[in-house]
Amino acid sequence: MNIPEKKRLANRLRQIALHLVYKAQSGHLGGSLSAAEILIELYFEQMRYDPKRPASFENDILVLDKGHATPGFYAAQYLAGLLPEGLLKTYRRADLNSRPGEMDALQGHPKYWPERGIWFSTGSLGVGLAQAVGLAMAEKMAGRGTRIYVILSDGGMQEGIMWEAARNAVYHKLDNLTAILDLNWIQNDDFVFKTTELRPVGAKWKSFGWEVIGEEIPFAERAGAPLNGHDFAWLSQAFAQAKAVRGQPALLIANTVKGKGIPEIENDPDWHAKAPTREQYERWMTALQAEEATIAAGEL
Amino acid sequence: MKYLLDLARFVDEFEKKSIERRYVRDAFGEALCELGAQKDFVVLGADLDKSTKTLRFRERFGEFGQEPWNEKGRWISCGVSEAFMCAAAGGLAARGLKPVITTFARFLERGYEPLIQSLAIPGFDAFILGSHGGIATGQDGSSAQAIEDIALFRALPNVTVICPADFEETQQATRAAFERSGIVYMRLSRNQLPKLFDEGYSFRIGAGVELVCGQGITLVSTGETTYQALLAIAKLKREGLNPRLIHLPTVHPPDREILAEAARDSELLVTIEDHSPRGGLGDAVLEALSQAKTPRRVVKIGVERYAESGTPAELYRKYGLDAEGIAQQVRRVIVE
Repeated sequence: MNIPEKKRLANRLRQIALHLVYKAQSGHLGGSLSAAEILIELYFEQMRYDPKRPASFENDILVLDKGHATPGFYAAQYLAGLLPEGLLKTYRRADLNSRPGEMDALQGHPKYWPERGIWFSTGSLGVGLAQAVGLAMAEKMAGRGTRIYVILSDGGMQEGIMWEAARNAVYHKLDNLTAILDLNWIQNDDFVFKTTELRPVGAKWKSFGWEVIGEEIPFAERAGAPLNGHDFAWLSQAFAQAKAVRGQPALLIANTVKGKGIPEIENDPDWHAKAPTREQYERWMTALQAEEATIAAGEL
Repeated sequence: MKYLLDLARFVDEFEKKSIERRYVRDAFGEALCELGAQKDFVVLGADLDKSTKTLRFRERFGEFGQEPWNEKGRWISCGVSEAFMCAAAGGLAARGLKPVITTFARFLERGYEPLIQSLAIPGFDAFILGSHGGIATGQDGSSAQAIEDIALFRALPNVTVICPADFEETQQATRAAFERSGIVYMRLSRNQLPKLFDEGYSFRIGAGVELVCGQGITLVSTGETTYQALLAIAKLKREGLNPRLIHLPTVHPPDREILAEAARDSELLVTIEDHSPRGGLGDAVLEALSQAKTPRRVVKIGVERYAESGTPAELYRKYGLDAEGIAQQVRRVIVE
């Protein structure tokens, strides 16, 4: 797929994510928008899957360790043909037509639902990478050539289980596992560097035995720098590089902007989990639609 | 069900130390190997595999990712990472491989939340072994003596909690657990336990076992405390009391019928467990009896405090779970 078409899809993903959060009046917009290009690159270039058979064991699997980023994740799945449009309307809403414990609806954080291509249950940071390691082991045992992708966040990387999983992925030589760090430097309460010390990121993973592709750009040094996490050309070649690695897992460090695509909320820690007002929603949607028209006209 | 033991003979053999005693974890390890040849499952360990007795399974079915088995190995080393083990099990289960998680009961507690996220919420089938349960773990001290694990597991929806009392029962329970859907938590004692059951016994999930008949008082025990309760009953019978003993190998779901039946002719029920008296066997019995027509007094004996290092015998004496401790508490309740 060519880059303008991917850009158009990333824009569409942002519109859908904004719509989902506005309609539910809750949800995590900032971290969905930072992952938009990563999600589109995965679903429209990297992953092999049959949208008509979401539960097929032949499909590649994406695990969303940053399970709060469902507005972006569900939007990508919808665009990829894995989720029907009607289901998007159920986002964060109780399904009052089924029995307790059963639901035909999209939870705020993803729950295992293979019929919709969701092979994991996340929302508690860090368990997604551990589950992805389990999935990657299962694929190796079954001798299937499927690949497991997992999107991590800088907040989730503060969980101890993440490092347990990182070490295990190396010991078990899981070269069918590719992790992508959506590095936007903002977590629930504040900036990462006002919460804890995470740096150096790449060196940590490298020392654990991962093939690390891409370099972290500290938040203070990012002004004006081109960010690889929103650059389809970089993402494509980085994923290709990851696929070629043998005997070890790979991590892509994708530098991103939280809230990317809606200038008013970009890099604003207030917008980790906040719903827009009607006025904001309409204004931002209009701007995104105008951008889509520009992309379609070949100007972006 | 009834499985009436010859109490006098049991006490005699126990006191002469001629009774057969075996590690229940060996029973688990053996059953696991036998089942491994018949069923498709994977076993995960976190560096306590010598103690949980899964090394035989590793020898026979190979270690995943390592020479010479490589990707055909069905035993997975997680390193000392219980949280990871419990979450990775979810990934394996998602692709149809039933996970068997093995470690000490205490360290499983560290994996509890990842287990909820990765196994319980998705509704997977999983077998979870918590070995070294209770203060009977002994000399390692309170850091290794789980007294909350049954309460934690009993709180999960769609769960089965089993605490077998001897070798034979552990083997049968392990086999039965593989036929059960949902999460099965098996809590084992670290110790060699005296033989209670022979091959004629037939373990059934959810079935309590009347081991000693009696009237007026019913003792209810599980796991390692069952043989201590037997010894206590022998003492009490000599004193003119006539307690019945019900062993509940399945703590959840408890056998409501056998408990209701016992409550019909017992003024008093005493539960005995090597676990906190809150959330474990005692509360399982109370919950079951709360639905019975006749209200009965239920006294719960358990471990109220974090204990210490010592031999299992010393600790059971100090914390009131040995035969004399149980008998004393029963006498005290009767006087009250």
